[in-house]
Amino acid sequence: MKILIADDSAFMRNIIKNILTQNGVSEVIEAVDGQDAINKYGEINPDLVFLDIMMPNKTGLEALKEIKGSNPEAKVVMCTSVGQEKVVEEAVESGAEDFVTKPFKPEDIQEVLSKFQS
Amino acid sequence: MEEYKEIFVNEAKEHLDNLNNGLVSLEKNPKDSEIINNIFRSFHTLKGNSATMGYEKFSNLAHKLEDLLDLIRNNKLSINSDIMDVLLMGCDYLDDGLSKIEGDISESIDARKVYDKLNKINPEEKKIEEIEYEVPNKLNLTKSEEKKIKDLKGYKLDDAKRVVIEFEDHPLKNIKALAILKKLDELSKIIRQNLSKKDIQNKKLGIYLDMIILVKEPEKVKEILSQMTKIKSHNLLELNDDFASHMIESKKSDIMVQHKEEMDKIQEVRIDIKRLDSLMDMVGELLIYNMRLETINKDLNSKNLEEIMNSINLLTQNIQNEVIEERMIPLKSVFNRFPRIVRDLSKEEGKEIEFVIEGEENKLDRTVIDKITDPLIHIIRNSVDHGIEIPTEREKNGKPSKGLLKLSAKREKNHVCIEVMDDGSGIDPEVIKKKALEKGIIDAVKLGNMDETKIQEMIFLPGFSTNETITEISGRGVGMDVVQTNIRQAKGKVFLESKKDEGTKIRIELPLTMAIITVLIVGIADEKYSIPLNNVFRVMNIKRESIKTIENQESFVLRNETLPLLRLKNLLGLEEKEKDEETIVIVESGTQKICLVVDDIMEQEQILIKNIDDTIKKVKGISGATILGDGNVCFILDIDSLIGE
Repeated sequence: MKILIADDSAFMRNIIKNILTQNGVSEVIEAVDGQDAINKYGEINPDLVFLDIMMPNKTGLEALKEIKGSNPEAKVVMCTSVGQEKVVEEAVESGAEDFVTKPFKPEDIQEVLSKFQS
Repeated sequence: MEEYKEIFVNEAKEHLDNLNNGLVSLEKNPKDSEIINNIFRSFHTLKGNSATMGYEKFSNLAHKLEDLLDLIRNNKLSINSDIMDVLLMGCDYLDDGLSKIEGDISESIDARKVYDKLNKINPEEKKIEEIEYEVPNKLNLTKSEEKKIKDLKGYKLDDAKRVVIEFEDHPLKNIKALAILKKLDELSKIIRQNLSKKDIQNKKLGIYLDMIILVKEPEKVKEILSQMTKIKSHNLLELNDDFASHMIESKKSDIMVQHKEEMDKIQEVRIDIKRLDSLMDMVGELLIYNMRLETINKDLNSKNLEEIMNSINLLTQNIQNEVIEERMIPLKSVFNRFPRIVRDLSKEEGKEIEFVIEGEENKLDRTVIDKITDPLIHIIRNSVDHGIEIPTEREKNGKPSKGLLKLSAKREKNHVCIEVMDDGSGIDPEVIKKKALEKGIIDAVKLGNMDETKIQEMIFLPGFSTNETITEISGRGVGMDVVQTNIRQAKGKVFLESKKDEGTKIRIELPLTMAIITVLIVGIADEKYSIPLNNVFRVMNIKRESIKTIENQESFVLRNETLPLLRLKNLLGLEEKEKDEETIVIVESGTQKICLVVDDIMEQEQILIKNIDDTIKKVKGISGATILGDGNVCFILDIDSLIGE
């Protein structure tokens, strides 16, 4: 399984990446902002994307729309936190599969992963 | 989570720096949406990351500040001085909280002051009442619903199914519900739901979403529901099924796989500077052994050996460069804190200052950066405090009311130059003269022989401070002498250029690293000694007659300057025969120079400083040692202490 993590915080990327690799994900690619996420999505065509909402150089929402525009089948899970309800709502409307809320526990990511692995 | 603490702390520091700078710019451009978004993002990331680490108070404060920024972002509030104050104050509390986290002191932010202010600006919203819903055991279609289904093309009454979803109590459960509604909408026709979409959008969902849908492929609905996270249970029932009994069977229990394994191995590792030091030491030894091999091979003259040695040399150089690179951090880490300092100080003193930073991307060794941080703060505070005048005074002198303060860095060959330049009042040599005489730092005769720059440079002497008044920030009892000392310890040099009424420029030249220095190797009675090249002013041969003895002290006159002459042999307890012509090295430390008499000038070499043990450290005039290619130890002369003598 190939997973793209887009988050401008290296701390967050690190945590998510470790949870994923410890759960058997063979390939994890990181993107540092919204535009990077769009570019990397096009290059590697991952099975799943963890997309942070607040990012510089295109927000997660903008990136989601572009990714979904180029591939309507893209599987995107938004990473969000309390206070972003409106944006998450729009993301769901725009085709995000699911979302995880910060602060999350490793189990939260595992849960998402297990749903998509099956 | 402990293993993520360092990366959390480092990133949080970057965000706090970014916030301090961003807020200062925001104050100048309160409508700039790019700045606002940038600040918002930093608060947002701090909130999320700290919550993930479990630092609740920190996260809470960041959250509140983020909320405030959100209102500004959406034009519901506009920046005013109250808001600026609370944002800056909030950052200070976060900064403080972070230091406590970093120092393993319990995370104790008591930011009531900030919360009180925040509450005045943005009173907290009332909590929305959720609509409670008791799940009926059975749902039946009403007459009108039956009629509706019959009127729909392609559906039978049998297609009606009941979906009951039990949500976890999660702050974003309403959006989960909306996501499910959207998916169900695509797969089925919703006939009834216990809560309208609008109510869900208004966050009124309790625990259950209970619906009747028309669906041709119930399996697909099941699949969709099983893919949703953060829901306690989901049930697809026939209309005459009993909900309560169904619940017991389908309680979701099997999905959560508990992974007990600890999260290990982070991808980024921060290295203790001591480890780098010891790595550097070992690289140094490698180089030395290789040089010894070279010496041996001069007799053997083996081509094979030479080839191998060349490869080892190249590799060692590569390792050395890697280690040096690893020790380098950008100046940004220091420069970042200045906009806030300048802003606070100038506000306090009623000054208007345009603060410009250039070249912050240049990198320096961590130890060098540590050494120069305090001096730079001091210099910049001095510029604001004593350099740049208040606007009315500036206008009187025909200057723009806004003063200019520029901090810049640039790389020049193997060193970095940092300049602090202001267009303030400059240093008045007359004031310095008066002060120096008053304080007994210098006598009138010597003073008479000094040029303007020399006089101004006296501000670097211990015990000298031109301003009696103590300001809140800059008056901490440290003078410019500390600046000089610290920079010298970092093997750097300070230059002062100042003109009364026009401004002051302080230039600091720093080596890229402290671990490697370029030295001049000199011979004294068959032994080799090295002199750090940054201390070397000139090398020359002088005639015996040009050495004068004044009050038992030999000295040599270079242009108009009388320089004391020091015979290193005497100092080291060796016999000295007077020669007709002497070789001298003129060395300098700060503004002072002396001449050292040596036997030979040998070569320039880049050496790695070895940490020498304490017994040698106590020997005056020696600061360290290195091992040369011939395997012999070579001491490094400590020019600062020699001049002090």
